Amino acid sequence: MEISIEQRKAQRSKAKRKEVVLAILMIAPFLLIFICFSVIPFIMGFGFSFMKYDPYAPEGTSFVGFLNFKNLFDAENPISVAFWKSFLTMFLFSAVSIPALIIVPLFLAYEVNKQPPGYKIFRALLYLPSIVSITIAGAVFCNMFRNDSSGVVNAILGTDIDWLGGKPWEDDFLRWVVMFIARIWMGIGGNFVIFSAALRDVPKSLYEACEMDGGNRWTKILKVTLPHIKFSLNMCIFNTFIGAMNMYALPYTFSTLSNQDIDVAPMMWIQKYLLGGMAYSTQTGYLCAGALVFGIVLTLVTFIERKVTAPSSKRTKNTAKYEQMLLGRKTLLHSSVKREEYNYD
Amino acid sequence: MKKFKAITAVLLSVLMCGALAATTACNKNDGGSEITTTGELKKDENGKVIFDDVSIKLETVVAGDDWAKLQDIIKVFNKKYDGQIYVNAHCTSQGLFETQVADRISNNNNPPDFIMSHGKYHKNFADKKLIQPMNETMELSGITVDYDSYSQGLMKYRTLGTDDSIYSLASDAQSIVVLYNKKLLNELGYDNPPTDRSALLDVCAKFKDQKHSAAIAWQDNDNNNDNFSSYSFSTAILQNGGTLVNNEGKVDWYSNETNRTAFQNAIQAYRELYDNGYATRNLGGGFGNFLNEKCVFYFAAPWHVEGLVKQVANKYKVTEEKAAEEYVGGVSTAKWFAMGENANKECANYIYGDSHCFAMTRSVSDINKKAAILEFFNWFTTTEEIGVKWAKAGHITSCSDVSNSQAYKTDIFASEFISNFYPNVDYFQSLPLTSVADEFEKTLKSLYAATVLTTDYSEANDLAAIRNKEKELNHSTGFFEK
Repeated sequence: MEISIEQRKAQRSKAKRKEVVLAILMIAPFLLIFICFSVIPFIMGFGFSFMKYDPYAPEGTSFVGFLNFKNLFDAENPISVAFWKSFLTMFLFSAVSIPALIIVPLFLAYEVNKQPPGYKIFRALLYLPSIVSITIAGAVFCNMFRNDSSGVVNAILGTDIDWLGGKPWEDDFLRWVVMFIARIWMGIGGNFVIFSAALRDVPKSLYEACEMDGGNRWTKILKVTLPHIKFSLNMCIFNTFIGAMNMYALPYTFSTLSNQDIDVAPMMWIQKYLLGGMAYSTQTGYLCAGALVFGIVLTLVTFIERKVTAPSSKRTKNTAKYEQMLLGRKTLLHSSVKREEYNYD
Repeated sequence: MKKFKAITAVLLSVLMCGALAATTACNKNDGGSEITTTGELKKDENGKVIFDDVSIKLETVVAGDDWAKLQDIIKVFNKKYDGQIYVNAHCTSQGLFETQVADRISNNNNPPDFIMSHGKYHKNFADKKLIQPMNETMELSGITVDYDSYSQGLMKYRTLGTDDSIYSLASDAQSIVVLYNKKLLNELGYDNPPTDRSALLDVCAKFKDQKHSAAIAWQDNDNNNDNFSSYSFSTAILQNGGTLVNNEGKVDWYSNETNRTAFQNAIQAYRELYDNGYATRNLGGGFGNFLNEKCVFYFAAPWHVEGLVKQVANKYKVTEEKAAEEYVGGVSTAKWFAMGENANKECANYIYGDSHCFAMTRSVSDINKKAAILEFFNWFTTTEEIGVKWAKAGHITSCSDVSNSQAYKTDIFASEFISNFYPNVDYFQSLPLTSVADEFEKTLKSLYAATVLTTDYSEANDLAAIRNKEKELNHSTGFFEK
C-alpha cells in the first residue's frame, strides 16, 4: 500500500503532536509546582519591587518606580548597609570556603581513586556528612563549640572562649571559623563524589604517555588530570558558590541555638524582614527589591564565572598549523572515501 | 522560533498580570476590613447580658511553661459559664504570633475572636486595623472595665495612641525577678534583702570577702539574653532617669543629655557589679550556683520561679511553704540600678518588662460574641482566685483589687514572691508605643553587648555606641513607619 507525501506528513505531524502531549504530561507535575512556587512568586516579587505594598494593608498599594531600588543603594540607610554588608561577608566567606571545598575533596578523591585498602569504607565515610540534616549538623557544632566547659572544644583546650558569640573579637570572627569548619565537614562529600567519578574517566593511557614523555606527578596532575576534569571542576565551583551565597540554615541554626541573634547572610536579611511580620510589612516592596538584586548579583557573578572557565577560543601561533593539519586530514579522508567508493563500484 | 518566542512572551505577560491581580484580589481581605456589629443582645431584668452558648476563640502568645496554667484557668471559666460562654484557646509562639495570627486575621482565614499577646505589639495590630475598639460593645452590653482599679502604669497604653478608642486591656506584668538565699543572707548578718543599690553592693562586697565568690548569678539559658538587654538593662536605664522612646516615637538616647547620662549610668551600674567581681559577664551556670549556696542572688524569668522554688524544696527535703519561709525569698530589682542621686528619685522604683494584653480582633461581628469576650476579660483580670493562679505562672495581676485581696496575700507564692518582685505595680513600665518593638529590643541588646559586655571599654566608646545605636534605630523606625 502506497502512502502519499501528504498522508506521510500528516502521520508524522500526528506522531509529533502525540510526543509533545506526552512530554507535557510527563513534565506537568514538576512544571505545575515550578510555576506555582517559583515563577509566580518571582513575578509577584518583581512586581512588588516597583510598588509601595503592605500585605496587611493592600488598599494603600501604589506604583513607586525605582524608589525601592534607590533606597537599597542609600548608604545612609542602616537596613541597606546591613544588606550590602551581609553580601560582602558572604563573598569573603565564599572566597575562603570555595578553594577549601574544591581542593580538599579533589585531593581525597585523587587518593581514594588509587584504591588503597579499605577505600570503599573511606569513600562511604567521606560522603556520610552530606546526608546529615543541616539543622542536626548545626546543633552538633553548636554543642561542640559551646562557650563553657560542656563544649568539647573548650574542654579540650581548657578555655571558655565564646566561639559562637564571637566575643571578645569584633564581627563574629570566631563564629565564622566554626561555620567554616562545619561547612567543610558537610560540603566535602558531594564534591568528592563528583570528582571521584570524573577522575575515573581520565584515560590511563594518557598518564602512561605523560610518564613516557618524562612527566612527573605534578605534570600528570596539571597536564592530564585537571584538563580532563575541567567540566566537573567548573560544576563544583558553580554549585559551591551558589550554596555558599545562599547559606541560610547553618547561620540561622547557630543564631538560634547559641542564643546569639546575629544576622550574617543576605538570605537571613531577606527572611528576617520579609517574614518579620507587621513591623516591617510597610516596606515589602523594598525587601522584594533586595531579594531581586540578590538574585541579579548572583546571576551576574555566575555568568562571569562561566565565561571565565569556558573553553578558550583565543587563537595562538599554533592554531593555524593545527587547522592546516586538520584540513590535511580532511583531504585524506575525502580521498579515502573516494577510493572506497571507486573500489566499491 | 520567532513564533515560539512571541507565545512565550505573551504567556509570561499574562502570567505576570494574573499573578499580580491574584495577589491584589487575595489581599482584598474578603472577610472585610470594615468593623461591623450584628445581632442583638438578650438581657435580664437587671440589664445583665444573657449568654446562650456563645463560643469564642482565643489565640495567645502564652506558649511556654505558663501555657498549661492558662489552660487550667480557661477550664475554670468554661466550667463556671457552662452553657453560656465557651472559650476555645490556642497558642502561637512569640516569634510567629505577629506573622501567622496577623495573616489569619488579615485574610479572614480561621481568625481568632480575641488575642492575648504582649501589649508592645498591639500598636501594629491597631495600625493595620486588625483589632477593633471595645467602646461600642461596652456601651451596648453594659460590661465595663473599671480602669481605676487597674495599675495605671499598665493601663496607659489602652488606646494605643489613637483617640479615645479602647483597644487593649492589660492582664498582667512580668519582668526579670530576683530570688535570694535567706540562709546565706542571715549568715552575712542581714535580716532582710537589700532594697537599694548601696545595700546591694554592701551584701555583694561582704559575700565576696567571706566566700570569695560572686554574689549574683544570672539565669541559665536566657533566651537571646532578653532578660538583660530588654528587661534588666532597660530597667537600669529607667531607674537612672532615662526615657526609652520619646513622645514622637523616636529615641533620643544620645541627643538628649539627660538620657545620655542615664544610659551611661545604666552601663556603669552593670560594670560596677562585674568589675568588682559581684557578678560575671558571661551568663550561665546560674541556678546550679544558687542551689549549691555559691551565690546569694539569682536573676530569673518569673515563669520559672515556681519550678525553682520546688527544686529548693527538694534539695532541703521540705515543703515549698517551708522552703519559702527558711531558704528562698523573692526581692525586687527596684532601686538596684539607680546610681548616685537617682536613688532618691521616683524613677528609681521603675521596673521595665512586658505585659500581656487582651484585644478583640476585627473578625468578630456578632455582638453576643463581643460581649462574651468582654465578660472573659473582666473575669480573668478581676477574679481573685484567677489572679493567684496566674501569679503562680509568674505574672502579677494588673488589677490592684486582686493584688490587695486576701486571697493574694494569704497565698505563699503570690505574697512571698510575686508581690515582692513588684512592690508597686504602678511603677511598672512597658515599651512605649512603637511599631518596631523587635528592632528596638534588638538594638538595645546590641548596645548592651557593645558596652557592658566589653572589658576593654572607655567613655568615648560608650558614647559613640549610644550615638550610633540612636541613629540606627531612628533610621529604621522612620524607614519602616513610612
